[in-house]
Amino acid sequence: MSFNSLQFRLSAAVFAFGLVMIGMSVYRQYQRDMESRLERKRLQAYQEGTRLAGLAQHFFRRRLPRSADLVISYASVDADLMLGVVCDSGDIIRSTTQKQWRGVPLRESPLAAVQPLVTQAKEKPEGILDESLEQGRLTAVFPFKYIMDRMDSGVVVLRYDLNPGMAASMRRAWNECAAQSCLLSGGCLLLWSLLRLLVTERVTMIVRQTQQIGTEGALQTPLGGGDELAVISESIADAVRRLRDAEWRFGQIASNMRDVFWVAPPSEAEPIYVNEAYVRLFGQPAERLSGHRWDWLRAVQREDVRPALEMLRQLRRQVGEHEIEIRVQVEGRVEWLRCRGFSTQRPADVPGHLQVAGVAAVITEEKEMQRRVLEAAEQERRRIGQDLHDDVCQRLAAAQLKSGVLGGALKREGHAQAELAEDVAHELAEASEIARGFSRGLAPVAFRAAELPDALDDLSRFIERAFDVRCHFSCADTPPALDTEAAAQGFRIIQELAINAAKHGHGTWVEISVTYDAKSIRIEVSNDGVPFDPTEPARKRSMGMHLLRQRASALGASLVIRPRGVAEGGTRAVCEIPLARP
Amino acid sequence: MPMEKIARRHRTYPLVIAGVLLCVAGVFWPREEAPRLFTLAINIWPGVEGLLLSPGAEQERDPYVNYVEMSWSTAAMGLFHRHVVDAIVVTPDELLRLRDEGASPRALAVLGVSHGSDAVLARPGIKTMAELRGHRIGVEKRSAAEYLLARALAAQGMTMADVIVVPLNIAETEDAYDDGEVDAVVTADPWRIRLRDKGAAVLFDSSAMGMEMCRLLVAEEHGMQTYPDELKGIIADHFNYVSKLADLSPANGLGAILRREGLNEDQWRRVLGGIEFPAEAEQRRLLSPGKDGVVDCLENVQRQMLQAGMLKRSTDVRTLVSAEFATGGTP
Repeated sequence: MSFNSLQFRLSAAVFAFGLVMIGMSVYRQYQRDMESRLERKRLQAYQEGTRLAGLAQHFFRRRLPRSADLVISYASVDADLMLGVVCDSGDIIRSTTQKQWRGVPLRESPLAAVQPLVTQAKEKPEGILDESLEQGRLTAVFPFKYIMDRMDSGVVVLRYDLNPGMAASMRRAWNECAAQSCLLSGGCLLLWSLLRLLVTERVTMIVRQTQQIGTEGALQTPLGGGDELAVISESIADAVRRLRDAEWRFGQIASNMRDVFWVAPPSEAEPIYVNEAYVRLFGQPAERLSGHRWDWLRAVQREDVRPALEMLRQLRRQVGEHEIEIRVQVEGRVEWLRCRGFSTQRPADVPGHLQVAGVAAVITEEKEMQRRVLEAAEQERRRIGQDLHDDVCQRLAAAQLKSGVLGGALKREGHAQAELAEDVAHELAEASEIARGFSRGLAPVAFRAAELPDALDDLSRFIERAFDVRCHFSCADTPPALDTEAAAQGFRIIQELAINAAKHGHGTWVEISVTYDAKSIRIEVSNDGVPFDPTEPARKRSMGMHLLRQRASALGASLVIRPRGVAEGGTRAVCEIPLARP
Repeated sequence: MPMEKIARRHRTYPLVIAGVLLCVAGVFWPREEAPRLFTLAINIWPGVEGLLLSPGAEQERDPYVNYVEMSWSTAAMGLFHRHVVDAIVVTPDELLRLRDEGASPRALAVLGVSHGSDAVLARPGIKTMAELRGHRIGVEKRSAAEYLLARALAAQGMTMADVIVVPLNIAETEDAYDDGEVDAVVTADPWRIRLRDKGAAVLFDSSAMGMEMCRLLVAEEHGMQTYPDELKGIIADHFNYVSKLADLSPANGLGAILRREGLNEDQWRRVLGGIEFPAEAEQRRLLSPGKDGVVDCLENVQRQMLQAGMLKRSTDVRTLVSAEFATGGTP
């Protein structure tokens, strides 16, 4: 039995209310009964007192004291009469209900306290009724003409005990209280049982119905009876049916979609939901997630674990959306996934405890396509640059040479066009230099990776010249063997980062650092000036950033751009390019 | 219906039954009928003073028993007959009269046996019962006095017709004697001893009547069922106090007795000499059928009363005695 149940509370409330009502009713009845008893006793005392006074006057006048004894003896059959006496004019007891007081002065009898009333009553022929509820006493004093010796007044004194009557009223009240309480208790028990049958059991069935929501058990038959609970039960059954339809549709979508769909509730006690694509893409059974929530991390490439966890941390921290691209290793191959996560606050959860969900789509082919596009573009640039260098520049050099020869000849012959020929030669030299510059810009690393330091050195000088900032380039070790494409893409990344740093940083210096180890090349571009936050929405959508990430992605490189700190100012960008390309 | 639901409903049935029973009990709950205070009617006679000592001499009343002190026995018998009182103290002939008049009295205890406490007294000069022939005799009709007179007259071969019966109440016998209204009276203590001290001659007394003039505590069947504790209590009190009656002093209860009886201390001592108090241990024997018991006495009294025309019909006297409240001893 639950003390919180509606069944108990209703029954208890009715019982408590009933008890209060019974208490009030019985108290009123007790008061009425008391009043009634008192009124009857007053009337009885009056009747008995006047009767005895009349008879006493008669018997003493007729000198029949024994008859007076008899009539007052009859009075004593009233159990409430404590003591009754007939006194002569000298207040000597002549007849009494207790013969032992016969002949005793009233003041020496148990009725000594009524002496003042006796004196008072002798002045009032109508007699006196004196009532004391505190003592539970009613005293009746009635005078009569006592003429045995002389003309003077005798008195009849009757003292009644009111306590038995009051006690009887109290007992009667308690008796009535017990009877009504019995009736109330029985009624409440029946109500309790009725509530159990009509409410508790039916509510329990409804609870079971609601517990079926979200399960796949057989649907419980709704309650009958046509009452409110039956309507609720029918509604719940209908809701369960509709919910199951919706779940079935969702299940169909989730199980047939190629992307991984996942939901991580805020409480670790609740299981993580993943659709069937998880098994295919992560190569692990979904059931393991119920015991090991982070089991999916085992498939994620080491370099991508940190960004993935960072995204989850941010989603858990506040409601929002994040997107990252990670690589997972499945059955010996690497797949690119674009993970879009979003967090929501469920109404029923503790505020701040967010549910995180997301979709992970395979973008390996897209990545490959991007890489190929970039490579193709770079190759086309390089080809144009080489053509420019090998053909146009050579032709311009030849034309410049010939113009110089022509100008010398004309000068020697004293022709006036000798100066024009020198101008042409000079213009051609400048055009050749410009064409060579274009060629270098289009193909800075034209044939092999070893050219990369020189290209970067050129870049640093270009930046100093073009943006009037100090640009320092350092390359600690001999570059490892990189293929030309990787070297070209790496150069483009450094170029974009360094020019952005010089152009938008408004600082005084830019530093380019390239270091190597056995596994990767580490490029670091730093500057002072205005910090650059790539997570700002406007930055994220910029074309430069998009190309940077595309290039890094094509190389399988990681790219982290962060402000250097409030005290230092400026920005630091670090790009790590793996030597073994995916 | 699932088994669990059936089991749950089965657990509810006892509560439903309990609820119904409580409702029925509430509807038919007995009304509170406050029992009347047990009421005992007692005539003035020294042998029953033990009963009146229990409430205490100076108290206004006993909280458990309402004592109705009557001046003469016929008045007390009238109260008993009308169920106004629950118990009464009477003699065997009065017990038979109550039964003859339709009451259902039961003798529960023998409180005292009169051995001279009841007597026929006459003015000095009248020496024998035979000399009463044609004289006025004050007697309370339909009481033990009438039976005593009949026994006294019969002993002399006389009947009521041989004397002039003046109906009096026993309390009036002394005044009637003093006023010269009668030549003799049939009376009992305390009036007997006072008249004796005034010179009245004893013509006949109860000293030779055995248990015929004993005083019995009598109650009706209803009273026995309703007030068993009160009856046991007053019987116990009687036997507790009766043994101390002779040793009382004015300071510890004798004063009240003397005022009630209208006697002096000397008269009180002499009065006690005319009464035998059977011991508590004797009660069971006295109340059981057997020689010298109450039943034997009642049969004897009934026979004589029937002969004297004092009773209309005979009754089984064994139904008039109950040893239920007697304590101690064996039959």
